[in-house]
Amino acid sequence: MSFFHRIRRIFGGRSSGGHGNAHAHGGGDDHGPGSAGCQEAISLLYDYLDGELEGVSLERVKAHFEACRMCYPHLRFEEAFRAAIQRAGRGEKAPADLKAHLLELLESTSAES
Amino acid sequence: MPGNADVDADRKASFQREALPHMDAVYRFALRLSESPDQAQDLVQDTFLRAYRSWDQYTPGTQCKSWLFTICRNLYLRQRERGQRHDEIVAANAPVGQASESGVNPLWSAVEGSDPEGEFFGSIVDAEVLTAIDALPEEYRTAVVLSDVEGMSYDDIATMLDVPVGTVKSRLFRGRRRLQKVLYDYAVEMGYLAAATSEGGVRDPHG
Repeated sequence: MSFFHRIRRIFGGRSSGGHGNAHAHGGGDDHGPGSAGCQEAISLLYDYLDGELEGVSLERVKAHFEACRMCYPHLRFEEAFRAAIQRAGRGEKAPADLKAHLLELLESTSAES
Repeated sequence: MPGNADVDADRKASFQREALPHMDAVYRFALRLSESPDQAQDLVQDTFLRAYRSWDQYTPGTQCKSWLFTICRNLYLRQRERGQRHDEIVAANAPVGQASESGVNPLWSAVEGSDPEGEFFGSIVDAEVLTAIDALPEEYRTAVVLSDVEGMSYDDIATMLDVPVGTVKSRLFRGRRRLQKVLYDYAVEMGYLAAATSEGGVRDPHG
């Protein structure tokens, strides 16, 4: 975790009493105009992370995660999970002999016409 | 016919230029589908041979990787039909509570105090992550690999699997939650993470 992230965790967002409870049950805390509530942000977390949001919806959710110190770790948690899956999943390459063999096969194969 | 050799050469060149660069991705995908690296290699070989034979049917400019994944998965499914793992199908179609589809991650209460940003995920070795992915039912595994590893959009995955976007989202949701639970349990087992203290919080009132 970077220094910036630590600071954000400590000071980020509005620390209103009872937020934790409201959060767990999806209370719609107000983080300013144009920001989504906690429930909306959490329910759209994957859409946001997967790059499926756009326009106003994207702006609202983004603004919320940047402002809400309760929701922000949820985003970081999912990002850490995704990073582990990507790192593991992208680590393997096709064996060199498979590539070579395939090239040979292609040389002797003609396309259907 | 005059010019046939040129056409063949062009076709070969465009296939090598557009399809072959995806070999690593197709191999990774095949590894996740198959039971063994040998089977994955056969699958990759069959995929590219089939793709090459029908290269004229590929629309230039569309997602070549998705097209190759589709061929690969269809070949795999056809192979699997013979020795279908019924338990996978049953597990994938088991009803799951509707309310859990969009709420706060149930793991949250376990990591909230010790590792809210999931740094333990970074401590888990790749082989263990892959084992966990491979243990998912095929429907979930495919969705997670296509989205999280290959970065495909919900729309592209839905088209490829021929299911509605809502189904893709649901499979991703369930697949990710399952994976997270398995990786969390592993991290606790390995001592990367303290077990949730809430377990000790349930006391016998007469104790």
